Amino acid sequence: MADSATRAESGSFRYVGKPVTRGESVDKVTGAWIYGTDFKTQGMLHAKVLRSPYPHARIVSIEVGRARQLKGVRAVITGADVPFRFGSAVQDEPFLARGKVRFSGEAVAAVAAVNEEIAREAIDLIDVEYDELPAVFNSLQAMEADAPLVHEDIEQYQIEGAFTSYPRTNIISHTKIRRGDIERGFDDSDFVYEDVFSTQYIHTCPMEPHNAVAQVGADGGITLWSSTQAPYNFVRDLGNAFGVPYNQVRVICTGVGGGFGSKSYLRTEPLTVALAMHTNGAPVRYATTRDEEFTACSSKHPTHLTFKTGVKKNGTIVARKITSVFNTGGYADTGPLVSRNGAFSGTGPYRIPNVWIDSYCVYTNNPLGGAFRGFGVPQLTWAHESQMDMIAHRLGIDPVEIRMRNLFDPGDSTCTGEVLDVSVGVKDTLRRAVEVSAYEKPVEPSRTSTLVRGRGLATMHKLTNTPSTSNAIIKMHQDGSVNLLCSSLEIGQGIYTALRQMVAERLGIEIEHVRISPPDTSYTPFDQSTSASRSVFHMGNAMMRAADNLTEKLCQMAAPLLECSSDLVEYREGAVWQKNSNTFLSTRDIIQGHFGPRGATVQGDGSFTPPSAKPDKETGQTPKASAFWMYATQVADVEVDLETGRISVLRVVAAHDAGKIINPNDAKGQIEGGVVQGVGATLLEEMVVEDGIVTNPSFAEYKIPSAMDIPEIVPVFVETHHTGGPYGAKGLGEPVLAPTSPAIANAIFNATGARITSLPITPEKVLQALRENDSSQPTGGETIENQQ
Amino acid sequence: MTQLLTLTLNGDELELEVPANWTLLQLLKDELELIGTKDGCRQGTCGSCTVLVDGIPIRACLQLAIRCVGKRVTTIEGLKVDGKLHHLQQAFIDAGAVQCGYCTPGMLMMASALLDENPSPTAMQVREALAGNLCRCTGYNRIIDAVLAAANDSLNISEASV
Repeated sequence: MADSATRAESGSFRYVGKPVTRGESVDKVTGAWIYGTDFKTQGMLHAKVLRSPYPHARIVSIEVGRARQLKGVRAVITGADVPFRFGSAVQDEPFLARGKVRFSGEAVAAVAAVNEEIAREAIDLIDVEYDELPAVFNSLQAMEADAPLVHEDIEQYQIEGAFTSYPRTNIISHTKIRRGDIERGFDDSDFVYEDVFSTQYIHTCPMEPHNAVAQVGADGGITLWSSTQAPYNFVRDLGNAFGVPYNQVRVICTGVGGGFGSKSYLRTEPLTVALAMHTNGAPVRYATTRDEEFTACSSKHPTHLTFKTGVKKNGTIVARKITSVFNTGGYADTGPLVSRNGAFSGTGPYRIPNVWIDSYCVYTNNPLGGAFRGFGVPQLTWAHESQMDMIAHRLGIDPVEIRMRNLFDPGDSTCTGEVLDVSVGVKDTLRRAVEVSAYEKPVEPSRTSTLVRGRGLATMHKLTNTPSTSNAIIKMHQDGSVNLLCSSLEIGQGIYTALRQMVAERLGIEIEHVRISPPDTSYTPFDQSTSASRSVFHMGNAMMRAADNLTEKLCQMAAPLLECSSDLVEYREGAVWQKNSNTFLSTRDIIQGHFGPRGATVQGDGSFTPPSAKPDKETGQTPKASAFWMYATQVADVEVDLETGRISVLRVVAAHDAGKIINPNDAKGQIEGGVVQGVGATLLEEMVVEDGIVTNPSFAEYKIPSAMDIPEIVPVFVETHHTGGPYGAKGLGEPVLAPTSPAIANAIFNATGARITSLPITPEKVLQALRENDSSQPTGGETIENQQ
Repeated sequence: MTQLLTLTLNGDELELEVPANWTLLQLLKDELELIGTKDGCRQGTCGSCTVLVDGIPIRACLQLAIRCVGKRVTTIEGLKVDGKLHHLQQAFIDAGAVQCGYCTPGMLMMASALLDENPSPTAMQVREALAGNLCRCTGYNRIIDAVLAAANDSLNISEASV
């Protein structure tokens, strides 16, 4: 069993699995850590951007003459100056709007000036004449045949991915998953339930706004200082957009003040670089305002989710048909990938033989949807876990029992046909969450009769970005200390510490002798991105290979010095030993012996790409959709005020199977922060978009949780051992918030009988549901077929 | 238009000409290159730019620089004591209260003002004091724990020195 493998290994590590304190925290508590917004360089100009007030309009004319003449202005550019497009899945987005604007907040013109004040003044001097066009905001209406087209020329775009696009419609991607025989599955079911769910716009809200500083040299080389989660995405996408060799794009990573997915793909950078191409070599800084964060940087896609599920009387799921619609706004950004990722996890961690999923990503004239911690999975989890409890209630089965009946066992396969053979800890997350939360015991009642309490749970799984590659170099100095050169970013999750722990463990050296070199694409090798909960697994594996390559080189250098063949020596704890003897050479002895008395460095090189197989475009079926799967169950206790509808979350027990935990302290930190994001997403947060306009673009109106809004959080780890992971580790960063919303919704139902199917769960919705329950059946709303 | 500004900044007396429309945040970050104070919203809504003026926590993004004439301004760079970490700073590190760290300087300044006023706060008093300082990473529990630990720590120290 996986568990016994873990037990066998535990205790034998010096650093792995230990709560090592983060090294970078010292700089962060003293204010010395340099974030993107803190970065300055000589002669830096400041940029401001003119954005469209209209959600859909033809640009009749842009008059920039007066702005150009303003003293202190160095460059004014419009779409005509930058005939390029970018996009991570679909190259559909111009650097600055050309011909028409497709959402309110789209960049139309940009100014670089000697200071922000003059840049702002210049923006006010630009006159744009617009001719408003019919617009579409609702994703379902956007799919109708006569809807206004957001993009007329989809067929001309470069599109990458295993999905279908439909020119002359607003559907930019359609992901299909087909497994078994869906109609037969429904026929074989005792009951078939169809329920509709929806999720709202949630903004990533990194405390550090998006920002970039760009400089273009006389030779055309681009240097970009950026607060990014994915410098090599920027190298590729900027290189492609400008048609320059990738080695001419240098991305130097600054500190990142929160990303949550939003800093994984180009957003502020293209127009900053474009401005820097017009300033005779002067660097240009652009940082968004908080208002622009909301209106012009991407949010979590709102979704419309239809779940039709066929079950046996005993709760066994026979068939599930899902239609999910992701509203991606004016440009695709990551929408097609998010929509696909959600679909791949859409049936939940359950064994279901007959599956039919249509996941659509749809253009509208709304602000942009994009990557946000979970990448489509939280939306689908909201639906499958809410419906799971609804079905349990209809069948009169306990929520734990119905899940245990359907959850994956090793050997089961996902909706895309992948056989799960290692590290399948999902049932254990449920068992442990039930145990730690004392689920069977009733929630302690409130002392006030109008405050009622309840408990609910939710289970989920999540895949990671697959395939993706991480490269690492370990550079050893002659004193035995090392630098790890890699492009994983410390975005708050603790990856630097986890990597240092693993490097020290693998090389058998002191952790103080391991330093991370700051990511800079001139020096640090390729990494796909710091996203998708992938860094510990992928960079950890790359690091292990780099360490092994390094020690192999040291052995080869040491053998002649020890006057024996290289198969008779072995590396151990910072030295090379002659096998079965007490003779050894320190790294200094080896390096100086090999290179001469002045010494040198020795580099180990490692690369990791997990096995994978491309999904079939028509069925989504693939033997390997994900390098690993993460699992979680959370149990929420809530209190609902029956008079006001106000909801308080009292406690969340969060049991996660993230494989071997490298640093329990930081892993708990991921769960605590993620659960609070989940609470915000459930009860507080909604970016309100009315006719394409964001009406609450500030922290005064868009409320994220504060220190007053937090429940007690109890992290629990189910440490299955993943045989392909470094020390058995998988990933953790994203699943932490996904089960929180349905667990809370299920707890509210448990407390009050009110079933809320659309996020966020506001007091108004609770009161409305309570009123409806008073006048009808408590589970009203569902369609029931095949009832016998 | 500029105006002469004299103030005590992190213990040093300064005299400088400042544009009358500059915020304290602009003065600190752009002119004095004290980058530790963070720029999060410029609307007074996130708390990342919290500094102390005469010991009172304020939002540097909303305060005009020239209103600090004759005042004592303390930023995160001035929190260290005798070149060593303030016990709050150490407590944040030890409790794992720092993730991305962008809110951390503002949190620390707010917490230091709290402990100056109330050396042994309850958990609820800490929550209330920090309610206007937003954090998107940690979920706050460890920040609250760190402040309580630092309070405990300094109480123990002061008791020991009696």
